[in-house]
Amino acid sequence: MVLDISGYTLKIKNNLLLDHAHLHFQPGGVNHIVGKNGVGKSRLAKDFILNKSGFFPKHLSSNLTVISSYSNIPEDISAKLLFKILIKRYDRMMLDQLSDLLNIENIPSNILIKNLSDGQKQKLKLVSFLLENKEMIILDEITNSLDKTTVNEIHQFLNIYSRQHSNKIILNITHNLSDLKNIEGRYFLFQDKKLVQYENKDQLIKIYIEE
Amino acid sequence: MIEFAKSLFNKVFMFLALIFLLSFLIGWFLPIGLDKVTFLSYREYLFSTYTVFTQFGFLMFSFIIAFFVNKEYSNKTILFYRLLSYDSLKFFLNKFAVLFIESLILITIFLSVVSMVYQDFSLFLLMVFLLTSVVTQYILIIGTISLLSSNILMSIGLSILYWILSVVLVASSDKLTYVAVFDASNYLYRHINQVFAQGNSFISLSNVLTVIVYNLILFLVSVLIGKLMNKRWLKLGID
Repeated sequence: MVLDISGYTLKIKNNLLLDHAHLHFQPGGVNHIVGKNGVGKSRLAKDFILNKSGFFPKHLSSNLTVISSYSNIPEDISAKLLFKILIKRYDRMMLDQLSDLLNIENIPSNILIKNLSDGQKQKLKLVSFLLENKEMIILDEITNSLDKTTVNEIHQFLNIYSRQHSNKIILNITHNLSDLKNIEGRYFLFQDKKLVQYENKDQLIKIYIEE
Repeated sequence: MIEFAKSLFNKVFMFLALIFLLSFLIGWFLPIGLDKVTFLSYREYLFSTYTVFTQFGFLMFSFIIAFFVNKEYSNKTILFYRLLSYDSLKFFLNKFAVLFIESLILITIFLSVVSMVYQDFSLFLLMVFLLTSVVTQYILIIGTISLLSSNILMSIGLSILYWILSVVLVASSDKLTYVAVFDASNYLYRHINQVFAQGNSFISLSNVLTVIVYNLILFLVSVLIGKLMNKRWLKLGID
């Protein structure tokens, strides 16, 4: 599956965020989408789910997973109960594989998730939502406010995961430039209400910093 | 299972139990404290408690019901429910089922204690039926309003507004009796008062049916709203 949308326009009330942009995302690797705060990165992610713009095919919303600050796992249950619920619905083997890749065996399973660290919660969130095994995955600022060790673990995880699932379209919406440096993929920048692709991450970073 | 666990961990069940305890206590103190009744019989006490449930229910139950639904919006867990293949209707029905079952358990416990203290179980079944019906009404109305609004204060405000409007409508016309069946200005309340005073153990079949049909209609309206608002549910959950 390749996502190719021409003339994409994203507007929130009177604020035009993207104007006749060309969205072209391929499977394999990670499609990094970079932009300053307020340019509409998260709005774009939300539009993939809600399709308020009406540009996306109807089936797309049910074929994608969004992992973000607005897709939390419940914090008033324990990790043990979380896994118990997930196993009822999803493949146990996949759960184990994802858990191994993210080193979550060290997370205490009997205490409430709200008492875990942000990094531990983020790992549980990744494992939970990736179990959906959808064709398209949108990661929206998933390394924000995390400690360096967890960020490195998530980078490492995403490199392995994207290689193992080369048929999936993975979008990584971020303003954390270390994501670009550490995760291989394609690079897009919100620029002049368009989404501009750069062949070279260094070129994108230079323009992003100078903007 | 997840909703039961959540209701225990986030203390919804505990608060629900406290609300029931408070209602039963107010049912005792109102006649003793305000009406200066020296001896409160089993029937008088249960009727007083029934009055508390019908007259103060919206005030007492609105916070905990709205909290149980609205916190999923504020905690941004709606996409997690979607991960578990929930839609807005399944989400609502699960919340309703947990609150209903927990309320039924608490009503049974409190009524058992009261009946044991008085050593009289003659109104036990009737009171289980009446209190469960009254609370079911609150869960359906406040739960549905909370499903439509992501803000807990808005949900509570709209629920209380609904309550006031329904009382005004019932008082304004006989044709609007069924807008708030349990209200004290309504014929059902007077009928129940007579049943308690005359020593009967149950209300008439037609009134049983009225109560059941009333809650059934509320349930069907809630289901319809739950079914139709899937996109709004997602939007409220991520915005």
